[in-house]
Amino acid sequence: MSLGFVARGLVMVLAAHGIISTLVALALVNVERRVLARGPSLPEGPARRLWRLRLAPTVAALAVAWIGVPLSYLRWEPGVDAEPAGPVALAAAGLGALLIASGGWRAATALWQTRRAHAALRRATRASLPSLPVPAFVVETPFPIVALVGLVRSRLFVAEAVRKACTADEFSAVIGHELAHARSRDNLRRIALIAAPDILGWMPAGARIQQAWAREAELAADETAARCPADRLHLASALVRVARLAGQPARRLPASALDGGEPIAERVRRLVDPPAPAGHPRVSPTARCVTIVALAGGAILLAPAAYAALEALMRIGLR
Amino acid sequence: MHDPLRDRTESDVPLGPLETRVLDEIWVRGEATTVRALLPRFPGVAYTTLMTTADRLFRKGLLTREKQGRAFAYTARWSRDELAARRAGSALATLLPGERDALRPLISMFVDAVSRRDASLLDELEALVRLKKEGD
Repeated sequence: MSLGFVARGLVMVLAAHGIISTLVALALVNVERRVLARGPSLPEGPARRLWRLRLAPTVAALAVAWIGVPLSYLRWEPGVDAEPAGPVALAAAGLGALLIASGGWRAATALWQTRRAHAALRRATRASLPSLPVPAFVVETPFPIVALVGLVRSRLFVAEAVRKACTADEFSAVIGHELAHARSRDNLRRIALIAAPDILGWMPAGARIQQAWAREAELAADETAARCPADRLHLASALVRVARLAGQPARRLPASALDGGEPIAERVRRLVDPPAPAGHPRVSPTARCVTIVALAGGAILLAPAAYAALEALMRIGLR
Repeated sequence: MHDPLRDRTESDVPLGPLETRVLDEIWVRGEATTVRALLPRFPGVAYTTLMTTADRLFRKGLLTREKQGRAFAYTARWSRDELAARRAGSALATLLPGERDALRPLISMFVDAVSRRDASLLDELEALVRLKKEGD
């Protein structure tokens, strides 16, 4: 198929997106079980690492396909008005477009669901909670909901039943936990994971990493909310109290929903007996800079060969 | 009594301004009310319009009705607070995972709606916290 300058460039970008994100995703699938088997260790570290790990295919595709390829295309493309694209390149571009569209669809659905939940919670609002860094409301709901809703300007909703059941210290620990989510922008991070345009979004491995991130984000919020030993116990006791109000899950759930075991038990036990922090080696700023420079240098050196490979891909299947 | 939309999530159905006013009036009265009895509270609204509105609320599952002579008497199916709670409940339903966990709303919850929580486990955890508090 003969394509114009812009259309051919777009096919190259989408093909590179499909190929790079898929290769990185498949590499991730190979190491995923080993990474998740390590379990929780540091209060904040694992959540960030898992988040970055899940987004690795997207970041690689953005760097190579959406930055590297257009720059190379403009530099090396002879500027011929119409050049052909082979079936393999078109198929790879189709994969890239499909990945982007499915990521967009997932994000749009999650946003729509959030909007519905937010509207329903607003309807159930009975009062507001003053003097908090985020707008907070008391709601009348059958489930003892304590939830932070929204991406950027988050709102906190707390069920009246929770406010009544908890002591002042416990309630303050509960609010502290949710404010920790707001500070670390966990809802914004969640949508980045949901929208990631790669094949991990279609694979169980991707869901497992996302679940592990969600679990670590809860543990991190617990740690942030409970800095002193007394706070830890207030939060632990609030968790048990709210879990009692919640009762059993409202309906039969797929086994996958229970894969994380019993997060309440794990959270309470960690609050009561905090584990010694595992000594993960920290990457120094110098090492980080050296890595970035090395990656940039490598990319510049490899760019001509990579672009030649992409050009060759564009011609596969052409007579 | 047959309720044509009983299986629908009535609390999710959006209400128009007149429907909201009629529902409010029926809540205020707190007893089975005919359209004719409602009419004086809605000046400028035709009897037939009010009848259609009440019928629509019945079809949406928000009112129940029974024959009183030749007319229907309407009663609110839920109290104001019950309806609010049900609406929030339907919001909660969206928090539960369906087939695709990724499609849940963007909400951070203190205690999620899906964890397994049996009473004996919670007793055990409560005892653990109490023991620690006493130890400190």
